[in-house]
Amino acid sequence: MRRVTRAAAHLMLMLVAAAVAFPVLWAVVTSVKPTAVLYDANPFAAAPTLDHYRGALEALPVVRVVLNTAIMSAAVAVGQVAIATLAAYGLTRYRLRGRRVAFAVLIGTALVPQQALVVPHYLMVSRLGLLDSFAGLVLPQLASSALAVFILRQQMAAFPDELIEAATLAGASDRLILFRIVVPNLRPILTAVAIIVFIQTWNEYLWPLLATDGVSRATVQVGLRIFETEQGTAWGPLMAAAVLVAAPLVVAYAFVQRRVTDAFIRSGLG
Amino acid sequence: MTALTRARPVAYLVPALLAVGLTVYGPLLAVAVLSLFDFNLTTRPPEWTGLGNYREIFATPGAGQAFWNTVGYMVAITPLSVLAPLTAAVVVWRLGGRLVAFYRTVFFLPVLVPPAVGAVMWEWILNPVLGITDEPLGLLGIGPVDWLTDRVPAFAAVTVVSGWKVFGLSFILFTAGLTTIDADVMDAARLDRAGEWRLLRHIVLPLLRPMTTVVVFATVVFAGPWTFGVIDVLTQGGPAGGTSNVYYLLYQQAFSFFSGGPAAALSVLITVGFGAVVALQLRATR
Repeated sequence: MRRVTRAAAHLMLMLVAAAVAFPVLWAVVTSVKPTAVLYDANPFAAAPTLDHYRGALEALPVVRVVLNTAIMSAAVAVGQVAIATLAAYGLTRYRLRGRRVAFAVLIGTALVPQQALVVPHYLMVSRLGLLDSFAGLVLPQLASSALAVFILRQQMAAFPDELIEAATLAGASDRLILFRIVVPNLRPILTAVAIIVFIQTWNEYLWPLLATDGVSRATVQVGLRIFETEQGTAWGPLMAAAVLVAAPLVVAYAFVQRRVTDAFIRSGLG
Repeated sequence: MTALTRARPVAYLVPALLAVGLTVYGPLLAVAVLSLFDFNLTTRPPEWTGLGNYREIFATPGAGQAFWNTVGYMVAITPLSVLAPLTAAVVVWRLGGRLVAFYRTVFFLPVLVPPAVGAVMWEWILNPVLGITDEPLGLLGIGPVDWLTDRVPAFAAVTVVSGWKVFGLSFILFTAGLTTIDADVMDAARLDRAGEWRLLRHIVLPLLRPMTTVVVFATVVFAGPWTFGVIDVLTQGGPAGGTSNVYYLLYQQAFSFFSGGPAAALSVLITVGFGAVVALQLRATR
């Protein structure tokens, strides 16, 4: 490509990057502005202050809600991957009667929007007395694993026969083959699927909104609602809190950027 | 992997079947049955009403609008969820070099900021009192816009904020698709002195077709949930249902008005509609 074209392309991409990052950067700028100049568009209108962060931490147990979200997302990710691994193994290792049907039943969940099931989910979880608990948060989200089943079955179907035959000849049981040979060899793809499910669950808003009450089990998105009161919105503390709750995953991503990108590439979605 | 014919394999499938039974198909059946009863999610015992709930939900003011808005969001978001990320991914891929990691990081950022958190950041930008959008718009000859209270701007705002998130996801998916393109194919084409545009039209885009399907699919699947959080923060479906979608209507029916019956009927209708869209999409891309 010619140099002019390259420069123009970079300029365009930089503009897009600036536009994408702007809301987050503007939130950071706002969060350190004194209340008196909050509505001043000039970012350097006054010396920065950490007052809003103090206010945010007083109003919202930030660590608590971040931990809640992390625990929920990790539990859903591990649960889905575990369930899907077993299912994919069962589907590929055995010539089961009705395995086509079983596969269709598992993949068919992709046709059902989870959000349309909140009424029965709510009734079920409240009857079980699991409202406002991690179990209640996690359980209804466990089954939307169509993607995980699909990817893992594909990967296992392509798994080299020689490895398994050798193990079988050596007298290994099927379970041993799964845990000692298949799982360790598929670890990159299992991690990839877990990362994707984790991010997806981290973004889930509606179900945690319904299944929690107060901040003891609230996720980050639900927790932020504290700042929108009848008297109006406390913008300063709200921006500080938004920055605080968004930061952990963004920082974590900065460290494992390659892995996350690779997760999407490796998942065979490519 | 070769398949075996032996006993006790079912055990591997039990957890998965149990999970989908308890949290997808069971609830689906339950909601279908409940849609024929009148109930309020808490105290009142359910009462048989037949198809009454369906008649009621169709007669609900704003139901038609919510339906058309749902379709509208799906269409309006495609420039941000498919075209822009496709272009950006191809350009970044062709440029290569040191800035690739930077672009990937920044573009993916909104995916990591949950919808309601991102929407709060946008709400501050679109806030009429602050008005930081007034001056840039003034340069384009457009007067101050009430982003969150006028119907058309509010719809645009919800679309842009949702699109902001989906853009990053689609960008990464397209990037993943591009890495699978064989360098040899590109080199061979270049030896034949094919220009950038011809490479793009005859090699890159055709090879990206399967991924485009995935992206369109992901847009439909994610756009609903992500739009929900954005609507709840920015407009609560207003003004007068102008930015509501079917999921938001369902949420209000069930958990603001406690009309369990109509909400259950709406759940059934959404599932049928969603299933039909996905099935049609799969068919179209076969």
